[in-house]
Amino acid sequence: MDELLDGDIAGAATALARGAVSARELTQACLDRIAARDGALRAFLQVEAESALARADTLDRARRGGDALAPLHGIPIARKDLFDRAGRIASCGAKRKEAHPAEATATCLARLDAAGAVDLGALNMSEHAFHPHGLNALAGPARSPWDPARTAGGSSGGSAAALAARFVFGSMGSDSGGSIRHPAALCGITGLLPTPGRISRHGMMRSSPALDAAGPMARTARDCALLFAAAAGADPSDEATVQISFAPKPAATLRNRTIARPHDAQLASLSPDARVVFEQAANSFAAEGADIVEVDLPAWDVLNALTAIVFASEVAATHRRRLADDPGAYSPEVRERMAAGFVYPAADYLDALRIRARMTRSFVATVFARTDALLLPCSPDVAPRLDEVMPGAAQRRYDAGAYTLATAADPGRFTRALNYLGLPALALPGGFSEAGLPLGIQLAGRPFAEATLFALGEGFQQATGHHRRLPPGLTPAPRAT
Amino acid sequence: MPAAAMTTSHRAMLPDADALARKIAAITGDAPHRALAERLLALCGAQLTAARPALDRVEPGDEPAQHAAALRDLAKHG
Repeated sequence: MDELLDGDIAGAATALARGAVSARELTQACLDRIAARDGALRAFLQVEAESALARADTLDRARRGGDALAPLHGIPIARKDLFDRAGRIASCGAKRKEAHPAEATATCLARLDAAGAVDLGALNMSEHAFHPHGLNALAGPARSPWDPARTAGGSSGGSAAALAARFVFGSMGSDSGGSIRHPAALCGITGLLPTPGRISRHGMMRSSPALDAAGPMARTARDCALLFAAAAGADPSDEATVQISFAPKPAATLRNRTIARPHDAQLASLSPDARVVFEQAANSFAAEGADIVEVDLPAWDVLNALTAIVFASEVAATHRRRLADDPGAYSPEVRERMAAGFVYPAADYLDALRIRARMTRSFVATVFARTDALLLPCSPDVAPRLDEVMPGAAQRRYDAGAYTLATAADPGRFTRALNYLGLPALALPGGFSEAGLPLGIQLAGRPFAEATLFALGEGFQQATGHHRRLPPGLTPAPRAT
Repeated sequence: MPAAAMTTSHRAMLPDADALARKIAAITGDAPHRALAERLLALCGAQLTAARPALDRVEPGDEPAQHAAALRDLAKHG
């Protein structure tokens, strides 16, 4: 069973389809792992064992009855705790005084249900999805399975920790500036920021309507593609959604692909470890036959600033009433950072949105005219220690204004502008630091080019195998001979 | 950020620290916090200055809704 749990969705689905394992057995095994190991990680805010096992039993009966199996039949997953699940209260990572059970399930979760997934519960997240390192006053931050003294990242940190710890096979996360990709990079898993409109946000907590996206997180690009295929599509309940076909492609050969990368000067803010890993990743693509071309990321600092203006303004508007009515729902640090949105003039916020289409057209024309994808770093360094980044920490290495300041330690420096541009980006395990901590890379693409990104990502993963490495505590003991 | 780095029009649109502290307090119900207002003015002033090359290019026909159309168009035509 351990080998199955440490593997991917494809392996588990095959075992389920053959009857080698039942959905109940697989679900129970995941629940047992969570019970044994999550005390140290805090990946889950709520484990819903009873409903998960009941659901697994229903799926097992359907299989025994000869029903056709949906693509995720019996696959244990979980959700970031900002999606509505009928009858459950989504905490949004905060101590809210008024929170009611949802009347309906978020569209993206309902689609994963329809595809046969088994939801094990609600995963840890940053308070109101507003802290890059996972600050959560309810349960404390999710911790990295690679080193529990370090953050799993934010804001979808519980999702990343649960996947790295092999508790579940997939999760639905959200990303307004890097909240899927940043924790994915820090925990050595895979996650997608989709093109706006691909996945419905109906039933998802909103932060910044212009930038928010729901996206899949999993252990591999192939698994992310399976989750994406199940969740994507037009939804009458979310007017921003579009129906554009998605046809998963097999792993791409990297030969004769052209991949853009930033030139050296634009990577100056990376830590030495992150820089080494990025260059090794670029070399891996080249070794597999890809043509790597250097590009000057056009107006990258301008794009980061535009994103910060839109994000801060919209978050402040989203939360302004609750900031006054329910002050206990906000930690002081989150409260102070949200106030930045009350500074920007409305005219500048509106102009940042009005220029968005032209900025996107210009960026795509410059970067993607002759390339298949753009290779970027994900986070600027390995996961920081919690005693360096949490409020009250004695030694704060990271600026509390990370989302509003383009500092060298800014964790969103290579992620947030893609939300503003509306370009899809796939975060992948890119390699490891000297100390053995994971670091991520991103592949960004043209609008709606998710299938290309998944195929290139799978090609990279087949070539490197970084996604197969397990956190130290999970490494299987050598078999006795 | 140093006030000297802001453009004149930009500087004119931001409140002074005392006015901002009162504005935030009125919205959130907190007590006015001048030091926080000063920090936020520095942070946001830096972002506005960095974004200014784009913000100054906005033309009368530019609309936020054009972005979604641009994404669909770029998907078709690259």
